[in-house]
Amino acid sequence: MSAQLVIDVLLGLILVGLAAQVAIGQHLFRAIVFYVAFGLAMAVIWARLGAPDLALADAAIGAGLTGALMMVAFRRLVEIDPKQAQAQATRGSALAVVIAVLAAGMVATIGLTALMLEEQPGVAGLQVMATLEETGLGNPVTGVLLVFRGFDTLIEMTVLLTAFIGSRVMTTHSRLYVATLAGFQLPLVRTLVAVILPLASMVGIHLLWIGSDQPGGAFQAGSLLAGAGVLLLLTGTLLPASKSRALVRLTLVAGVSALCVLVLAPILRGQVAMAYLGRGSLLFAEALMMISIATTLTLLFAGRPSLKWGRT
Amino acid sequence: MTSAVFVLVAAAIFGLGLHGLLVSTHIMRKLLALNLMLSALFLLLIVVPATIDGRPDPVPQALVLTGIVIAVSTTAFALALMVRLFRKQGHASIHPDIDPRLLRTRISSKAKNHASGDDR
Repeated sequence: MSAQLVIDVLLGLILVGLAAQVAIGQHLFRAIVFYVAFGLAMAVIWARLGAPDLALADAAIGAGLTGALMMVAFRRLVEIDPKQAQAQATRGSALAVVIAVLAAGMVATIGLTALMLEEQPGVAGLQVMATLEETGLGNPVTGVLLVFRGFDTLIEMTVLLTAFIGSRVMTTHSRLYVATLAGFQLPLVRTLVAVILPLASMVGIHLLWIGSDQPGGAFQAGSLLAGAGVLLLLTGTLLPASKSRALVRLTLVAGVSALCVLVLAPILRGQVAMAYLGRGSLLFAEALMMISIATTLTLLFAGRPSLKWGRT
Repeated sequence: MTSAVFVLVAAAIFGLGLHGLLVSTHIMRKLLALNLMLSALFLLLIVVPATIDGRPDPVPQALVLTGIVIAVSTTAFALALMVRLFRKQGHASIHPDIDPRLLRTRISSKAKNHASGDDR
C-alpha cells in the first residue's frame, strides 16, 4: 500500500466520520460545529485532489459562511424561544436506513462504473485547455466561469441576489437577534480588527488580482471579504441598520450589472452576445462581483437590509 | 486508486446525508443533511472525470464552484424561512404527524434534555 493511498483513505475516513457526526449526532449545535469541521476537511481534500480554487471556496463559503449563517440562525431561534429551539422528534426508521444504504450503493455503482469507462476524446475540459491560450488567461477555472460559461455565472449571481431579497422579505424587523460583542468592551477586540482587517482585505484583493492566472477569483475573494465583514459585525465596528442606503443597494446589484454589461457590450460592437473582450473586462466584472458577493453574504449574516458604522 | 477511494467516500456521505434528511424533523438538521448530500455530489463530480495535465477537469471545477455559491444562497434563504416558521408555529420542525410540543409532554426526560439543550 503506497503512502498516497494511506493518506487518501485517512482523509476519506475523517470526512465520513465528520459527516456521520453531522447527520446522526444528538445535539443540533454540535452538528453545526461538526459541519464547519466537515467543510474544512473537504477543503483539504480539494487541495489533495489538485483543485485549489475549490479548496479556497469551500474553506471560505462551505465551512466559514454557511457555518456562521447556521449558528446565527440557531441563536435567533434560542432568542425567540430557548425551550423549543432544539425540539425535535427524531425517531429511528429501519426503512430510512435501507433507503440510505441503497442510495449510497447506487452512488458508488454509478461512480465506479463511470471510472471504468474509457477516456472519451473531445471532452469539454480538453476544448477549454486548447482554446485557453487565445484568451490569454492562465487559470482554466476562471476561463470557464467568465468566458466559456459566462451565462452560468450571470445566473449564479442572480440566484445570490434573489436569495438575499427572499431572506429580506421573510425576515421581520422587530426583535431580531443581532450577533455582536460590542457590549462587552473586550480590550483585545480593536487590536484584533486592526490586525485582521487589513490582512483580509489584502489577501482578498490579491486573490482577485491573480485570479486570472492562478487559483483565486471573484468568489474566493468575495467570500473572504465577507468573512472579514462578519468579523466587523461581531466586533461592533459595523452594525446592522434597518434603513436601506443607496450605496449598499448599488453594491448588491453591482455584480449582476457588471455581468450584464459583459453580455451586452459585444452586441453594441457588432459581435455576438458575451463575446470575449479581453482581460481588462474580466477584471472589471470580477471586481464588482467580489464587492457584491462580500456585501450580500455579510448582509445575510446581519439579517438587516443595510449596514452602518459602529462607535469607534 | 485515489478516484475509487473518493467515490466510495462520496457514496458514504450521500447515504449519511439522505438518512439524516429522512429521519430528522428539525429543519436545520434537514438543511445540514442536504448540504452533506451536496458535498458528496460535488466530490463525485470532481473525482469521476478524467484529469487533464494531472489536474481535475476545469469544467466540472467551475460547475462545482457555482454549486457552492448556489448552496450557500439557498441555505441562507431556507434559514430565513425557518426563523419565520419558528416565530409562527413555535417550533422548527416539519413533519406531517408529529408536533414536538405535544411529544415533549409525553415522553422521557431524554427529549426534555434535548429541548432545554445546550445553549451554552
